[in-house]
Amino acid sequence: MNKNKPLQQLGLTPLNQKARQLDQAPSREAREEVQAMQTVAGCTSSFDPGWEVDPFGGVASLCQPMEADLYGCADPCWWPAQVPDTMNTYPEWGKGADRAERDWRKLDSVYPGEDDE
Amino acid sequence: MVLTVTPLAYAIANSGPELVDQHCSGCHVAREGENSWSRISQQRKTPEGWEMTIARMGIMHGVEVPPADRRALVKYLADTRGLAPEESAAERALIERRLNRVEEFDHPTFQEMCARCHTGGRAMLQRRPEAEWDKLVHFHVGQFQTLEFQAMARDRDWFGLARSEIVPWLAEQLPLESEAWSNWQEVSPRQPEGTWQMWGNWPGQGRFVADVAVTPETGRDRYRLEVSGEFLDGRPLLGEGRAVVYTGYEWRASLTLNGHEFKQVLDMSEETAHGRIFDDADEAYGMQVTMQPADAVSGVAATLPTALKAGQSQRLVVMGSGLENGEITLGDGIEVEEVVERSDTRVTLQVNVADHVAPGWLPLTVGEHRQDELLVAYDEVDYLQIEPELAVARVGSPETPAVSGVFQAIGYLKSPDGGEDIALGDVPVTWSVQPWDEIAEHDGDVQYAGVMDKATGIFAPSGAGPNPDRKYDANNVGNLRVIADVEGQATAVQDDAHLIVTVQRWNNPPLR
Repeated sequence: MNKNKPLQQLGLTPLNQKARQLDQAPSREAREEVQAMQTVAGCTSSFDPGWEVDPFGGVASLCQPMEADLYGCADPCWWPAQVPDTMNTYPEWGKGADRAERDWRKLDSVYPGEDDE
Repeated sequence: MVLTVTPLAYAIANSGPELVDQHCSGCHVAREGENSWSRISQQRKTPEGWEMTIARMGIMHGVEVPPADRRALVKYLADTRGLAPEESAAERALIERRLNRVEEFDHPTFQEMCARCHTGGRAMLQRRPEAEWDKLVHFHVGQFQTLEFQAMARDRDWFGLARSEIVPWLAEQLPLESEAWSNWQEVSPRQPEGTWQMWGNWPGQGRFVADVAVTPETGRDRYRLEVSGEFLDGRPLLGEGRAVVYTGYEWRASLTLNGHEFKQVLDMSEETAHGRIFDDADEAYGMQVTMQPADAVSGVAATLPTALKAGQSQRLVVMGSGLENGEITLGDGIEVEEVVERSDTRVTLQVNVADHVAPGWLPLTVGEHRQDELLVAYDEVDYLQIEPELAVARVGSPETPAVSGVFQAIGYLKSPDGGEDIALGDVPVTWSVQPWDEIAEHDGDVQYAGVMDKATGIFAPSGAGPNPDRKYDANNVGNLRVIADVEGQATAVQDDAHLIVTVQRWNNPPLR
């Protein structure tokens, strides 16, 4: 999405308080501030889209189901705090789960791992 | 010869430096001065911070440390390179794994630069000199190489700004050397052996008070605990656990209460300890607790509940010290029907609250102790505030357990004279969920995302994985409005909150 244009110019109507704030923000920097300030602790606010919430503070614009594109996001470590990055840190994470949509139950938590308290 | 050793230094196990030499000094070379290693001695962190560092050394550099040595290393490093109570005070919520809150920092871009992937608190719980903060920036770019292409990085010279603006700010705010840390090292570490009284409000179970017997166990600053108490309705609360005290005040316990496994985090730097008990896999499911030693001199410290409703006979427990003797009075309209139990630290009463009791503070006296603004009487709740206002729950699977939505509805009395409104604590309400907006309604979020328990305010998310019943096989995510309606009064009072039910995460370190 072109974040420089108000939502109305893109044919969208802000539906909630956060979307209205985003729409009214005078600049891209101000819009990003709205985004960064309104995510709860520990959730990522890198909205490309985000991992937990989309740029409008909801879930309707997330990649869905997330398993369909999971490795496309894990490999370039788009949300390394939430999703193991297979580029560098956990290259073996998806091994044996070739199609995440089918094999998602095989994907284990990396932290805590076996040795973690 | 006169040996001058600080109490905390005295408490350090001899094996600490040897373990660092054994497991870490292959890369972290010993430097001038005793017990000093490159990088390691240039940082201070919480026990969780050191635990995460050692975990990272294993994940990224293949270091293998046996579990017992790893525990001993965390203990040694947190004791010798930890944070003073003042230094961890602002981030207790993060240490206690309370995540459903929005962070704020006194820097215009710190959140966009750093706290857009992880909490900002994760940095706030570290102390480093400027050169070490700079190395942390280099580490991020080297390890997470697409960092600069993400939103809020590709629009700016992220690396340049991180080094020129963020690093100096962090070094100034969070320096390696501080007066607080110097002073804290002179303080004797907390010796928690003895009997404590613990109270809290277990979501879905109710308010409780319990005795906690703490006895030493083999190993430095290690303890065993036995918990014996009851809920206000008389159901027993029994448990046991093990604890370690780090840095002289950071209490960390694993405990089982009525069969449920929990973690406990307490700040023991003051006589009365405060903190939280929570489910390690479902951190939203937890409760704030207070733990007071039996020999504390507090008078009347707290009551359970904190508010009495008009027209009811109910149980009231008063906690504190010096409570064993003397008359007990609660003001006009409150009659003590029965003294159920009474000891130096606790009085359990059955009280009858008249229909006509005046709403407001009650003058509570137990013998010579008096508290005028601790216990409240109310007839009707004037307004409600759901806590938290915004929560994130997560769908679950055996590999990545669900994270619940856990809500409380705090009732308030409006001040009749323009003074401060009075919080009543959580009051009985009926819980429900609705779609947050038209999109959520259209997508059937209420149907798919999970189930709200109408009595407890605990939302159980649905299972993880693609759902073939949803459009595009979407996950069981949802954008929900949580609603609480006060029960048992003529005037309708309601509040709402926002619940995002979202996807799981696979990376769940103790500090997010």
